[in-house]
Amino acid sequence: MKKPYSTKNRKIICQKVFAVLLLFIPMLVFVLPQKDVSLAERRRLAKRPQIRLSTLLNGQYMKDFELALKDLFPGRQSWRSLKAVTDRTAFGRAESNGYVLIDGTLSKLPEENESARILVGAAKAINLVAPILSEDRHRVYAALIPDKNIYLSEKHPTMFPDYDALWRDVETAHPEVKWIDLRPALSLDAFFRTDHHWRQECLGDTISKLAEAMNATTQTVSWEQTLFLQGFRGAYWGQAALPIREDQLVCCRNSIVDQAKVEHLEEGKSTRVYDIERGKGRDPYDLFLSGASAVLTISNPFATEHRTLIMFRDSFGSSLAPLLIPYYEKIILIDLRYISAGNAAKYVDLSDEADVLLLLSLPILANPTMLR
Amino acid sequence: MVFSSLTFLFVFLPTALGLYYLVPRRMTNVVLWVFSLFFYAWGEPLYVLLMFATIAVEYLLTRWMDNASTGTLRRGICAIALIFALGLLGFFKYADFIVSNLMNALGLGIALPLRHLALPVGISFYTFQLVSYVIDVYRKEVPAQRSFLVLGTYICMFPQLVAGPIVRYETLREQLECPGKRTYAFCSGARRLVLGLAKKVLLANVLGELAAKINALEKSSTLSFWLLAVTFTLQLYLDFSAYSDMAIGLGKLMGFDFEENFNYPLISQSITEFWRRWHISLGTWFRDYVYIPLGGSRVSRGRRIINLLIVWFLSGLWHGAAWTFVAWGLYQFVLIVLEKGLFGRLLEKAPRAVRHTYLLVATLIGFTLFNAEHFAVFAARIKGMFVFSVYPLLTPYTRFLLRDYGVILIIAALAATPLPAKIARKIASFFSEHGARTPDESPKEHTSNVRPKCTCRTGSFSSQPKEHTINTRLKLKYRTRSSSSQSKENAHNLRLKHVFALLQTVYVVALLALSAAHLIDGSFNPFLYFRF
Repeated sequence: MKKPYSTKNRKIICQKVFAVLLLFIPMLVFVLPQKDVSLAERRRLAKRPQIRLSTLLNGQYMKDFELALKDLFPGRQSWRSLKAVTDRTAFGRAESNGYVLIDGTLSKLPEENESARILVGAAKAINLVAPILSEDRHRVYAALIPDKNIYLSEKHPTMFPDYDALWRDVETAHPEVKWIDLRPALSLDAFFRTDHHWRQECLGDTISKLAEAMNATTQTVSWEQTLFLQGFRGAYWGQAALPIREDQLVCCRNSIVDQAKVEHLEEGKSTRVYDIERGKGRDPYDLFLSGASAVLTISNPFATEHRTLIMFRDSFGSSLAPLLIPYYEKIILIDLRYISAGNAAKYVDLSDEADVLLLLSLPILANPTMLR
Repeated sequence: MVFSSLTFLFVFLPTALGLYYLVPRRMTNVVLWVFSLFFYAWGEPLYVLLMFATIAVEYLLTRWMDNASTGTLRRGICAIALIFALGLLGFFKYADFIVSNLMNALGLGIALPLRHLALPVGISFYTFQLVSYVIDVYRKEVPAQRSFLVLGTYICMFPQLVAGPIVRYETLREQLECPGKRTYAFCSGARRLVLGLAKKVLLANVLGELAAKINALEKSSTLSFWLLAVTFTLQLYLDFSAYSDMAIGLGKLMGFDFEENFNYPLISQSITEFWRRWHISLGTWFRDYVYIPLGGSRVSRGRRIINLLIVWFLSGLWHGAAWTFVAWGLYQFVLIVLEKGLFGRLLEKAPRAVRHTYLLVATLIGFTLFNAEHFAVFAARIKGMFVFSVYPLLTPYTRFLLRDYGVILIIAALAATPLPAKIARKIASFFSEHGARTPDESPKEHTSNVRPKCTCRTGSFSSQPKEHTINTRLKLKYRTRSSSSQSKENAHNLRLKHVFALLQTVYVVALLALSAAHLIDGSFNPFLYFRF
């Protein structure tokens, strides 16, 4: 006869299960080698703190210990995914760590008063570049980079602000520049699913619109799309920790772009337009113009006209600028997040005749303190 | 250290429990006290010495009091002990409050050096436990504890050190003095701990996140004010009751029986009933050590009202050093006095739905006051809730928040009722009809004990385990092999028991995993008891 199910057996099983759950997994934190970086979250991980009397007495060691335990917990990204998936499926949450998965794409939810801050940011950006502008020599254009939220708001208006009103307000407030509306040239599919950036291979209409507005012409140029990375996980992928298909990272090449020379003036180095080594690093998007750079110039050896473009940009400009190379002899890119217009003028002459394009994305304008 | 942290769950707790179970019974108090001091020192590396010193002084004073030859001397020592303990509490918690109010009242602009004194975490809880111990010794309800270790363990016990419940010494005396008499309920203790953790991390913390977002709104609406009131009320209840659940679960793991601290207060139908269900240990503390010594209800009506006023004034003040807390306490006093009069008689005759609605609205208003940093903030929120012409009814962002957190709010509201527990009991009783065990609702229903090897000096102990009880409904009826249908029934019962045990285990493990996932993600995890 089988032994009846006993209290003692159950207690022993319960104790063993509890011991395994609470002891075994976390012990791995102290046994496994320490990771420095989280590729998924694209940030440095906290290190195990060193024991010092001062930090023990002021409580800092304890805070650092808890932080390190969170960052170094075995399978951290899997746990984060578990939380994100459960929040979404069991608790009906659309938001995960500030991101939403809608219509097959990840997006960052705008903050409540973002439109007002964008207005302030746009005004600041225009004021920052004003000192280097000359009415005689510069033709000034500006374009707000459409966020993928704009296209999501068409189907989900209650989740996003009124972008039509925002565009109208910004353009009305600054008639001193010629505004180029890029919204009709793009769609939701033009953006990565797992990242906030646009896909370079979908910028054909955008380039045409910019070139037309700036009266820039070129002979017909053919482009070859080259797949650089099959499983591209953008910045949102790791942050949201939600299950979503990876993207493809494609770059557009031709003989002009391949021969173009990129000079990073602050770092004093030269690279190609597509930096393969940087593209294999932590952020594959750094493929385009080697990622963040304060001031750089792109020279087109095949240019037939002596035209110069000065572009005040952010990371979106990295993938856009290569497509404008056929239209210009020289493109100067200045990232106002890292250098002011005045300081940039110390590296490169901005006084020559040129098209000036102020191309900034909504998240940057919404945080105007980032602009110098 | 807080219960809802990775450090506690995966480093401190397994180490503490492991050692606790491995050492001989007579050493368990040492382990418990050392780990409790470590637990406190982790959050308060310097104030742990203050707590230790406070316990040492009270230990000496109560020993002296117990041996006092005259009643006058006994009263004097008791007074010194109380002034010492409450004085420290007053100094750390109320010095800034008193000084700033005095300066404001006298029009002085001097900033005295007492300002911004850090409040030792849990000082309100352990001071009240010490005070109850001192008074119980004075009243000769318990003898003064001769073992400093036992007294220290009682006061410092980490399950209830920083957020209660306030446990009476008499409740734990026997178990502390005689480790062999502890009733270990590992499975139900682990289950209660995990349920409390899940309540805190999966519900209360998420509600806290919602409340923070509503507080940060630039465009408010009538709905956002109501949503804030509801969210904060649910957050406070779930957070606080979760801490009590975890404390009770931890107590069971170590063989201690703590009393329940919450009994679904939000289903009450009057404020009087509410306070019989909310933070029960604090309510009974004030009743036994303030209200009854003042005369309680055995005095004239006028005197009784004054007694209630004193109790609620002190109760409000205990919750925080600010006039809003005092006002909140007095608000409770006004409602309770009204309920004892004509209003109460009218309320009793009203339909249940009306009584419950009254309780909910009164509670929401009360906690709106509790949650306000200043009276002006409270006034603005009340205006937003009840004056419909000031704000729009709804804004798009508020609508989004309501949709995004809607399921959580519904689950939280259900968790504040006995409904989930009733459903769990129904499921368990289905299995118990077929011979499985029911989950214990009270510690005594489902306990196991080791044979006591107690060598305690005080009291007697039986050689038989006292608490080795099995619910009569759960008694198995063993049948002989002669009946094949009975064998089949036994096998079926056994399978059901396994299924039930498996379901319970899977459920608890799933909750633990989800809670861990939230903590690892670094989700919003506030500690609400920094004022205590």
